[in-house]
Amino acid sequence: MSSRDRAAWERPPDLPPTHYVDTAAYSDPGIFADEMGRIMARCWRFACHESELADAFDFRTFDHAEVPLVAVRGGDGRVRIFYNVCPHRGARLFSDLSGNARLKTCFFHHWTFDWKGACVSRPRPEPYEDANLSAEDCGLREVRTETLYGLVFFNLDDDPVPLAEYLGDVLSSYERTLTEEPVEVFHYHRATIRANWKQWVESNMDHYHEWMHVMLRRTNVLTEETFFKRRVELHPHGHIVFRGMEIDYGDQATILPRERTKLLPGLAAETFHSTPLFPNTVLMTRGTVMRIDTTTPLTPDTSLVEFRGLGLKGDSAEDRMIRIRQHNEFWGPMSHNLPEDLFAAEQCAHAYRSGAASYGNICREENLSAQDDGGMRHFYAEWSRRMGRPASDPLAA
Amino acid sequence: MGAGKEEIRDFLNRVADALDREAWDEFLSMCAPEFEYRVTAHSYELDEDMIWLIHNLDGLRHLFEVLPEQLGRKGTRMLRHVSIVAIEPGETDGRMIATSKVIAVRTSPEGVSELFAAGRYIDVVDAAGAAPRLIRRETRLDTRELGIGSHVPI
Repeated sequence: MSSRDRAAWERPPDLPPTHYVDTAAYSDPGIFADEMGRIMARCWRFACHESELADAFDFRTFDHAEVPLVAVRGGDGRVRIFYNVCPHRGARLFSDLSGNARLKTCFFHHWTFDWKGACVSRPRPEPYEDANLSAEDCGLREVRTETLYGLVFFNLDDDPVPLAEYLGDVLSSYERTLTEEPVEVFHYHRATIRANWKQWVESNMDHYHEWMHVMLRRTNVLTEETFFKRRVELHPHGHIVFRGMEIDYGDQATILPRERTKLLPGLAAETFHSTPLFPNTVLMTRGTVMRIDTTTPLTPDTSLVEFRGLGLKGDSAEDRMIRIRQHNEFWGPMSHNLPEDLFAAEQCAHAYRSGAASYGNICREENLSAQDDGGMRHFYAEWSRRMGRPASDPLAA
Repeated sequence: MGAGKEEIRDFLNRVADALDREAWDEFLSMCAPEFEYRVTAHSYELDEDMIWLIHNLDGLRHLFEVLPEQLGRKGTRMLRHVSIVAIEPGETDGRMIATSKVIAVRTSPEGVSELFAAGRYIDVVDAAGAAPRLIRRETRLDTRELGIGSHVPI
């Protein structure tokens, strides 16, 4: 065994090309631009939970697309998503992050739109009529929107496969959790990190990093017995389910036992369940709480990560407080685990950005159990298919 | 006779200094047995108040105990600039409520300082004893994007 010289360091690993990623995939501006067009503009992506738009005419703006978007619950109860842009001169139409508006009037020239996106009023419209620009031609840009189990998804492509076909049955194990009793988002925070978007997505598929977390070293997840109860399920379109992970939270001083709180329907107190959806969303549960991550690429080496925590809408004050504690223990911005995960993503990004590392290794095989890298290989197989080039050689013509 | 406003002002500055110096035991010694610490923020996305961290004294002890094992960069420091706005009597005898503006600046091991968070402390202080002690601290954050976050109380 020895260290390696430059030639050896930069030589592709002696592995199948499906088992490593060229770090140019994280840093090359051309690849990033292609990802926006071939992946982000064509895949279904999570927008928000419908509890964020509880009442008719509620709206919620968000920036986790390449364009500003606004989700609006219409008078007919349906959630629609529009570009948050006035078609007149490009002003941001909804400037508040959330609110309620039956009609929305642009602050700039007072064009007004209804909840279906129709332009219903333009001050002194006659010169527009004279120019043959009718109100009919001034509606908002609506993007494809569908809802499953209360999860609102959008697609910037006007003609995508239906959401049900895109997701298949990957979320079926969450059906009871998300629909048996009303759930709502009680936690939201965001982090802008210096890392490529895929590096955050990977952190939720790479279970080999468990030893990094002090709190996981103190619970029982790192035993041979629990390792091999895990299964990595590979679903069409690049989606993954990690199931079978059981955790004994023991007597950790800072949290109350999960059995003391009302569990989310369909979940056991000790189970950890995780479902990365291609390309940029992860749902995970720990008995009493659900977390949803959404990762938005900003630049090749900057990403916006949004974190939601969900619990039961009908919680008593006592239950909600315990649920909040249990969410925050691992997943809050001041938790044990999340700052460590974000730290790791940024530290790896630093090496990839500088060119100090040429390849990332995803070659662990353990029969899709334990700490198998099969989830990451599945993600990159879909990435490679959509990008028309292998992740192991992404600069190939 | 309990602590006056000047004494409480001095006390709160010493609390901030203990946190800045990561003198956790010293900080805990300034807290009453029933102490509760919480970090809160208002989400304009959800139009809801959120609790991001909540601990009693045992929870804080545990937090400080695992800090040396927590992943991070040795030499990263946080400095809390506290500006006390008001110190007023609470509803219970011997308790004072102090409101302060706080700006937390995080400095990397390389010496690069950046604003980490801005907000307010809402403190309930036991002013009746021989020395003031914190009964409750709410760190109410205006800043809601904390980068990679923090293991250290603000």
